[in-house]
Amino acid sequence: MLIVGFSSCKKETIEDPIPEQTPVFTANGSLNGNSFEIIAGEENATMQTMTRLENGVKLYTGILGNNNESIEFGIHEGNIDLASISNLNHFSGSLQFARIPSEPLLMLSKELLPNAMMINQIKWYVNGVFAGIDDVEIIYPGKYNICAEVVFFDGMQSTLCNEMIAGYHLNASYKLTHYLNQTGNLKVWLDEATEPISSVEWLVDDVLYCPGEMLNIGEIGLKSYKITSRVTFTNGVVRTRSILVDGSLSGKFIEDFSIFENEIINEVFWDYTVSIKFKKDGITYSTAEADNSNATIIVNDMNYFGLNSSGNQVFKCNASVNCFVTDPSNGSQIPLNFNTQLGVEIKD
Amino acid sequence: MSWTDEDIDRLFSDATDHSSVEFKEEFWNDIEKELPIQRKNNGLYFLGGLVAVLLMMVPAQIKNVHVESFNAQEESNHKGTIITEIEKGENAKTNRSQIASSEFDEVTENHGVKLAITNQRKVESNLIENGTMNASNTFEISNSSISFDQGIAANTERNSNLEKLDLKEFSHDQAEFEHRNYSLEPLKKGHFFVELNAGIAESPMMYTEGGNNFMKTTSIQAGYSFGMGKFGVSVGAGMTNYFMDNVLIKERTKVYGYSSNMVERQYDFNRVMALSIPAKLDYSFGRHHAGINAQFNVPLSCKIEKSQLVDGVVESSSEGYVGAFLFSPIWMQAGISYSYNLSPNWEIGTSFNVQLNEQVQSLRMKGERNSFPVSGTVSLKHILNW
Repeated sequence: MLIVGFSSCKKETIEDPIPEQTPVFTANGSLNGNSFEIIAGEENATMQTMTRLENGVKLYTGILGNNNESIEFGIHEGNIDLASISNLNHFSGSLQFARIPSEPLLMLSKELLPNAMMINQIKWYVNGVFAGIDDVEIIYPGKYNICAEVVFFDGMQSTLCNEMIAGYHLNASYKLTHYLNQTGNLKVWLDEATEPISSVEWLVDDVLYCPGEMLNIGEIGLKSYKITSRVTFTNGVVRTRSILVDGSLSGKFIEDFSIFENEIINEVFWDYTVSIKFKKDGITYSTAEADNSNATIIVNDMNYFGLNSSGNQVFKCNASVNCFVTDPSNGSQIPLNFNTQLGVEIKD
Repeated sequence: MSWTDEDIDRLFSDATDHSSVEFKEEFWNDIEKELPIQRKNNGLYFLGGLVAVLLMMVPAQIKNVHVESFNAQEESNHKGTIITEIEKGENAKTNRSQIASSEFDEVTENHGVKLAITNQRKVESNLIENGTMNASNTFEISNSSISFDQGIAANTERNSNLEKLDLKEFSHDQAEFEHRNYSLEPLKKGHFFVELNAGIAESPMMYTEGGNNFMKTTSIQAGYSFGMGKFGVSVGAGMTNYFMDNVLIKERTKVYGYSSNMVERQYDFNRVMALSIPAKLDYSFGRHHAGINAQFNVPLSCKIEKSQLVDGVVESSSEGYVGAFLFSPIWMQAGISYSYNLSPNWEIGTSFNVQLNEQVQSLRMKGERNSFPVSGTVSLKHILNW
């Protein structure tokens, strides 16, 4: 009975003490000569990681600090037209700072469209938000959903939306060309493809029609048709472009917006660039508007650390930063130097 | 033919009032030479008489009472050791009363102490005077017996026509137990016992941040005792529980991650169960025993309460048992003890002990180690007469 009694008792173990750990996420350096040290776990400082979406592009972000002092470290997504996650090698080595372009990246203009004479007015919507009439400039890099609400000369109104990328490398591109003859035979094909095409899907009025390199419809009606191509390139790029076809052959069509992308002459690419914001005593100092063309940021290594509270992967970034930030109070540029080991969330 | 009370009275009367031989003191002197023990008369006789009176008041259910007062009376009269034994049983008190009231019909004074000489003694004297009393161990009066020491009792069955009753020989065994005022039943040299202990002890760890630095102890022990004259030796084994209040591990660790987590783990040792091996050497005087004792404890198991807090919030809490590996494998303690016999089978006692080695082995325990914690216990011991 004694044995049974003892065996029925709950057995506990006295575990060894948890070893005292050293800080994981730290940053120490100086802002305009004033030194600082931030350690997650000390003085209420924390390491928060998240993936932000800025203008449709992911910004892998880590914020280290407390209410008084913090560093926001973000790495912009690259190769944004690729379907899979970026290669981590792109996050290592010497990275560039993201710089706000001095010139517009995109110029959405009615006059650039081939049937501009048939169009009375275009209302432009960027990411669902009205941006302007007829001519709109886009300054910041990003991946935008551009919608044109076109009013033709006869008062007919049509809308067409296309995805457009500005300020990031395009790994593949093409444009849609169509031909509609008098008998109503419609042919649509891909033109000016920059990469080999793996497959194409066609949708007519958002309904999947058929696969194939060319869409050939024997006879269409007199109304307008939305023709969409979903193209997969062999390098993994997947892009979608749409056009609006006028079945009445009266010129009330809308081309895809590829013509605007092709007009980009500003060589600004934010792929895998870094943006840093330093917040101290309520003032936010940012690298985005400073001239960091000669600044350096060396990412010594980028290793997986663990999952954060959102369940996403966090990578520990060890970096040395020497850059300039803009003092918003007077617009001057002041030096920011620090060594850091901080985390950034990277997710697909 | 059976004797009636009247016959006995007449016999006594004839023997004392019309004795043909005069009582001479030399006879008793001769007898005295035969006695093995010569005891001096002193104040203890008075004390003995007092004890006798007290014992007369003891309820009859206390069996096998040795009335030491009769010893004193007989000894003073005969200058030798005479033990009077009241027969055990329900009639013991009655018998004593009879002796006290009716049978003691003459009072003499010797060394300032009034002594009662019974009719029987007179008879005895006559018998001795007549040269009919021989050395013997038997002498019997009614239901009471007065036993003379070795060699002095006469074999009276031939002349007194009294019923036979064996006189018990005064042995060393009897002497051993006589000082405890127990019965003259044949007693064993050793006996088994069971003992319960309860006490309080200083905690092995002195913790200054609140809590109780004392702990309660309980134990049950069984063992064997044996005597060597007035000395007794006891050894045994048992289980001891130490109900600790302030022996704990309280570890705090800072774990850095996205922010720091203050992880606190606490193990509260509520109870330690130990195998006990006690040993005691005592000296007995009367019912009292004073001795020295030592005890070895082997802690076997601990009951702990385990809790973990993360940033001050209790994350988990549970109770269970663990081995005593954080404590010293053997706890040694020594001390002094005193005990008192309530009855032949029951004994109460107390002891004061000092721990001779540190009870805690681990450095993880909170607080300062108590190098020589002291403890005190009270005990109740039951002697098993197997």
